[in-house]
Amino acid sequence: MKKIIFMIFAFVFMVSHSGRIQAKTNEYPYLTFVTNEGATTLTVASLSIQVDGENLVVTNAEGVHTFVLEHLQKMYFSSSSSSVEDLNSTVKEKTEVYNLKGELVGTYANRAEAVNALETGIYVLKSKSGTIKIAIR
Amino acid sequence: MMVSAISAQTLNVHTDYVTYQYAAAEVGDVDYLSGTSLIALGKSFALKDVKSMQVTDEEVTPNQVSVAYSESSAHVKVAGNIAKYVTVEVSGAHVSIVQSDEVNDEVGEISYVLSGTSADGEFYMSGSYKATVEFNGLTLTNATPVYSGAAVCVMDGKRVNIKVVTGTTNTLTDAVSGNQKACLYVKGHVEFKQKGTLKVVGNYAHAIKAGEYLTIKNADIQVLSAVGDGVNCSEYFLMESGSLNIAKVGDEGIQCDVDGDASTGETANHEGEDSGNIYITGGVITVSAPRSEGIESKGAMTITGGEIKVEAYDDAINSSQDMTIEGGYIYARGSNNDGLDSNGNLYIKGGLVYAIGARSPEVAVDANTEQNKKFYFTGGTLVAIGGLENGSQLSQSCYSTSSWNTNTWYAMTLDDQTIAFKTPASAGSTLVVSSSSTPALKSGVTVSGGTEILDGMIFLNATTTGGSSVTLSSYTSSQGGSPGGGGFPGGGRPGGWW
Repeated sequence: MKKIIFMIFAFVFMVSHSGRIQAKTNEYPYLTFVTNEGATTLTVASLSIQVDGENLVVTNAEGVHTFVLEHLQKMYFSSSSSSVEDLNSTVKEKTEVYNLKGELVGTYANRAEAVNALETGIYVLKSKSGTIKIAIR
Repeated sequence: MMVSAISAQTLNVHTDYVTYQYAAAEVGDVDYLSGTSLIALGKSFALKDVKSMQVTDEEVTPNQVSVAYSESSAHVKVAGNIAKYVTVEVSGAHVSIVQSDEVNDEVGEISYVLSGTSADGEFYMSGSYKATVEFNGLTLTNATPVYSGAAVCVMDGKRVNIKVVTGTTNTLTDAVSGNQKACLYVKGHVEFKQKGTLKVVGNYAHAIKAGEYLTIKNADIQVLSAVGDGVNCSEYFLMESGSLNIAKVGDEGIQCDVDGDASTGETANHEGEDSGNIYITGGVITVSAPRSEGIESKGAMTITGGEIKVEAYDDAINSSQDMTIEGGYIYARGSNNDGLDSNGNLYIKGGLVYAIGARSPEVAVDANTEQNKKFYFTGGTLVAIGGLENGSQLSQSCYSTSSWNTNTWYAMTLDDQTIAFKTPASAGSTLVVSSSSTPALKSGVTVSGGTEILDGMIFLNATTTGGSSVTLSSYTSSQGGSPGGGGFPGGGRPGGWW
């Protein structure tokens, strides 16, 4: 019981006293643009925005999207989308998993195997394709 | 089970020379208005001024403004949470940042992190709330002033931390003309911190000036030259640790004055203090003031620690009110005036003091006897070339010799150690020594070991050989301040003012 209380306290302290930690432990992989016609949600990977005359031109890993400026109302980050990325299927290479202490938790044949084997928590997954941090809830 | 990638998404809004950085977790709705502007966390941008926006994984440090100088340009990054409170202007590498008066306790202190190099740039900030300026590897010369002639001008009347980031070397040089009060000027009170090195050249007036108090802890500050003072401040000056080296100044090395019309009389914990006092509790201070006084307090002077070496044309260390020395190592040479000069009482209660005054009527240790003040000597180790003020109250026995050899190493042997000291090229006639035990003195010794202090003027626990014994006589207060010969047995006065 003591251990649980301590962990909760530590988490609250970290979030409330460090903007860096707060930014890191929140995930906002989507940016939603709201226009008069409706909302469009895009992944933020490699996302850049240019003002081009009457339009806002948004480029991300998926392509180019154009919004008429006068029709734009707002944009906001979000943590979910109708097109959630399937992390399990993206990497088929050997994957090493580390906990937040930097300790090697295990080595798996691919990311899907790693994710299926992990318990709830935050981990760093390292493979040839790159390194990502994931939360398993 | 839900699995998702984590990163620190940041929306970067780029204008010409400024990037405003908004953490995705904090920015909320970014509103577009009539196709002409957008608003993020209360900061309004005209879309025509927005060059681009990008989402990156770069983390945002809240409350931080960073300025990266790169020769003829500078790029500024502003954390989104404070973007609406600051107005940034950039002209080449001349940067002005104005904090709005709306900055309040809810937002907290803003930090300005300066780095990079420019041969023609400056940093100007104004505001009315506490702030921190970090020198994080900055080399900045203000060749053609835009906002002020200073290299760094902080027009903020509150407490301003200046962090000289540990491991970095920073150099500031101001313009040769203008109306700046200093190369590094802060309107409010300054607290130097961290262990980096800061070099300052004052081409027009002072090198460093604080409109209010100034404290130094840990930092290594080097005034390479100044037309005016090396360090000038008001209210009070406090040196706690670190080092302060001042050379080639046109006026005082360090000067502290009262800010208001008169002292507030408050000195307890320095709360509300506006005294003109100087306090030295630690650190290493080296001052060379070839035209004026070395360290001058318009209030009292209190030295309880540290290592202080001052060579000055006028008084080496001067106070308008009482001077008290309770500890530390002090070398104070006034080549044309007193070594230590108090316009109030002067108390030496401890420490090691090596004071050198010019020939009579100047003395090594001077109190204001004209105003019925006195030099009270109750403890510590003292070497005084040029004698003591007449009428001094010497509770600890003093001994003297009426002649001494210039540029010569002397060994003063006490009960517990031998202290070796080197005499100057010229000074007043009488050499006075005193310590808690009766000293024995030798002239012309060779020093082969010991702990070097005061830039090599003294060796503690010295190992010496050779030399000839010097006959010492009891020194009385009535001997003080009297004219006399000697002091130049090695030849004529050297050229120049030294």
